[in-house]
Amino acid sequence: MTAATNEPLLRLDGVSMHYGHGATSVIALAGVDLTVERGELVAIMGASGSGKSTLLTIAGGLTRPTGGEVVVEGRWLSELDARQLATLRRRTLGFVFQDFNLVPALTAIENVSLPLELDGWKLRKARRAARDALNVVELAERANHFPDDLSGGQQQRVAIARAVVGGRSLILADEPTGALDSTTGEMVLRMLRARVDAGAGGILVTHDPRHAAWADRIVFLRDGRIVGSSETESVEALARRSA
Amino acid sequence: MTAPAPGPSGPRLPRRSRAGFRLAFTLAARNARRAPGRSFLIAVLVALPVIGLAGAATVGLSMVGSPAQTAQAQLGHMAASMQMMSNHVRQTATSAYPDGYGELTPTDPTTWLPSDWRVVPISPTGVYLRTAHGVAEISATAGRSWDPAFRGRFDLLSGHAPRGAVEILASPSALARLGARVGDTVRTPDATSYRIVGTMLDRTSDPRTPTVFGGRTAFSGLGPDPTLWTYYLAGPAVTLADIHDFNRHGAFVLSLAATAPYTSADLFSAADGIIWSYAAMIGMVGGFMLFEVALLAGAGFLVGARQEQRALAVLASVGADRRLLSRSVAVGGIVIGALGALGGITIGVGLAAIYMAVSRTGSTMQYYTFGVSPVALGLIALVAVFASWIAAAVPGRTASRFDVVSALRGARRPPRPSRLAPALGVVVMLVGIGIAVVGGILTLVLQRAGDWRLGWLGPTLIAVGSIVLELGAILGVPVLLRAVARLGARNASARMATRDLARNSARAVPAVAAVMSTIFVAAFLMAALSGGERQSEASYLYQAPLGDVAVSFSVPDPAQPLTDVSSYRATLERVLGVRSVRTIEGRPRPARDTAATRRRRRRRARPWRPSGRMPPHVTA
Repeated sequence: MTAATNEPLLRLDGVSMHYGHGATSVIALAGVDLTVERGELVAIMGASGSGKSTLLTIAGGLTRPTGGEVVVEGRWLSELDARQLATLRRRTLGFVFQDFNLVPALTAIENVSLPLELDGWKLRKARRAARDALNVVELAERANHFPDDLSGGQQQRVAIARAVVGGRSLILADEPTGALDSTTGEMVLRMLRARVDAGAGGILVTHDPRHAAWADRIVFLRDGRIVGSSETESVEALARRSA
Repeated sequence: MTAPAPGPSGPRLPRRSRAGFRLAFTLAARNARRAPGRSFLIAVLVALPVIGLAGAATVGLSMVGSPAQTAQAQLGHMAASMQMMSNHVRQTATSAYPDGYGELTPTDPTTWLPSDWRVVPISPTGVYLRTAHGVAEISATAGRSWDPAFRGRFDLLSGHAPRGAVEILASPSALARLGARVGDTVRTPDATSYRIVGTMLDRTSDPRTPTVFGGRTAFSGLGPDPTLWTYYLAGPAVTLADIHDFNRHGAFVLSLAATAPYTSADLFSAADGIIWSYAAMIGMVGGFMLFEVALLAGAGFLVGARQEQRALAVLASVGADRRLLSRSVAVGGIVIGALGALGGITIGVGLAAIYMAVSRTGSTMQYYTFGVSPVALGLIALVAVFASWIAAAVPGRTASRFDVVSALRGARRPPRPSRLAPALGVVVMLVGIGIAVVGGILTLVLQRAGDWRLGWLGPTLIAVGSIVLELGAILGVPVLLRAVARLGARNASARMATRDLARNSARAVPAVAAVMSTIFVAAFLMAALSGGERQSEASYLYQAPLGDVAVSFSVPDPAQPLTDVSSYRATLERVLGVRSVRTIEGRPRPARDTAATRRRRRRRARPWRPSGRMPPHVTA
């Protein structure tokens, strides 16, 4: 996969998402434009139902938009079939979810090495990379534990390790601290930030302005539209307007 | 904003990714361990038919001896045995055919056999002997069965060999039957006396069958007719060349040396289509059982796939494609199927061992060995694992077609019903009916043509057609469920239940299909049994006109016919309440070598294979 040098890591051009038809139609996103550069963490804030999570799943190729275009590292997602999207998720994208979403039947190291093994890496090499990633999130000693044996914070750190393993460049985090206490949540965000500072790009969906403060830029959504950005207004004013 | 040019598509996952299979196996094994109850239930479903098939295969194969084993059992330490026919015989190592009809007069082989061999003629017969309670018909063996070369076939347990026609040996069960001991004298109804001088066992017979052993002339009814005797040869090994020599005199030969190099498989390959017909019937029953397993286990795998939907969505989010998602569920079928098959084979073989131990009579020809065939058991296991894989493959395909985003949030939405499925179901049903009808017609045609080589094909097509027909009906079940749900029910619980079934038809369909399949098999068996009974009734040969009773008496000694007929008449009138009794007396024709008896012999003569059974005794 080659990336165009002048392209942002992620670009959403007029992305729309409608559910249903006619009178029962629901607009989740309406013409959203957004870019994420390498080394940039963009926080997306907004009330429940504003379209934050839908934007994230569209950016990650899990949902196809009804309008607009998503470009990741120069690839138009609309041009990719299901198999190519799967390849993109293995090599470029990493998801971090609120509910951790680890595979319960696999150990921490197996969960982390999953995208690499699926991508055809040799087992030993994939496991070495996974152990390195677990080392970064300070969980190497828990590598052979199953998710059920880990605390919520530890599970989320495993999820982050899985999202960044193998040099993936775009991290999409949906309320990654939602199920964690404040101390653990802060540790998780520090790790995300560190990864972005190391050259990746990321989107952080959150309700909490304190967590959004870890981002380089904050974008506010309301009713599926971007209503403002921290580049042009203060966070407090935008929060009031988007509520 | 200008749109960038479409980027290059990413490289594809290799079609046969070893990592994919490894992951699928790891996930399947771990998921099976995480849900022990469900896994155990599915494994038991797979194991049940495997237990039956493995047990039946083990017991069945234990009853089939190798040519050398059957020859050894029948010959003891004799080199060969011969039976004389009235025609030339053509034998190979594994088969024998009559060559011509009735052109030979059977001769005593001692008249033409080279003097290298010592000949001991033996004939099975029967004798009537008085017991404390009346007259008993006892099996008897005429000839020098105590010859030392019969060691292993006839074993002298106690006493000494008979000297003359008035001394006999008896099996322990015969002593019990006669209420006699060694040294006692027993009598026939015509007052012929025999002194029991020892005990003996025929190792090829059930020891519970009372048998007495006497010299060649000890028992009446056996003449010098060579076709009544089996001639055992003691001496050097009888080769295939010797056999061909003897064949020219009309002798069927069983030789240990000639059969030793061959295996049971050589006999099977030489056998006619009957074995394959049996195999087809067993296969059909086994196929139906495994079809049931696939349906019932399918429901179990479906529940498992629904429970694992979130984990599958996680896999999808990290880059697993649909093939891997489907495979990770389907491989569960292989893992649990293998466990079920392994357990089923272990239990089946164990039960076979117990059955054989309980049912063993002591006859050397009942069970030759403990017939654990890795090939047969492997084949059974393979079919079971295949059925289990099929059971998991359909839920696997369903599990790969879900909304990943919803599943990641923990929502378990049932899959949308297919609109094409009912129409496809009708087409599949028609195809199934067509196959079954062709199978039925083929069965009739082949039966009328008397061609048994393809006897397995008709039943197989009927079974396959029936399974296809059921699969077609299964495709229509969701429509049926929705129709039932639309009808509604006054009772709230019933209404909720029917609507839940209609909404989650994928969960209900395997159960409906299993019930359907059970009823099909039951109806099939009932129809087959009642049809057989009707046919038996239609072809029943009445022994007497309707309303009459025929009572037969056999007379031990033809020289002494029944004299006290009036007492029997009185008993019959009293017990049966009959109005009149008439006596018809029949006398057996003395045995003579006439054209008619020669024709009968020809009809009774069958090609013989050294498969453990002696050639039929030709009697006049």
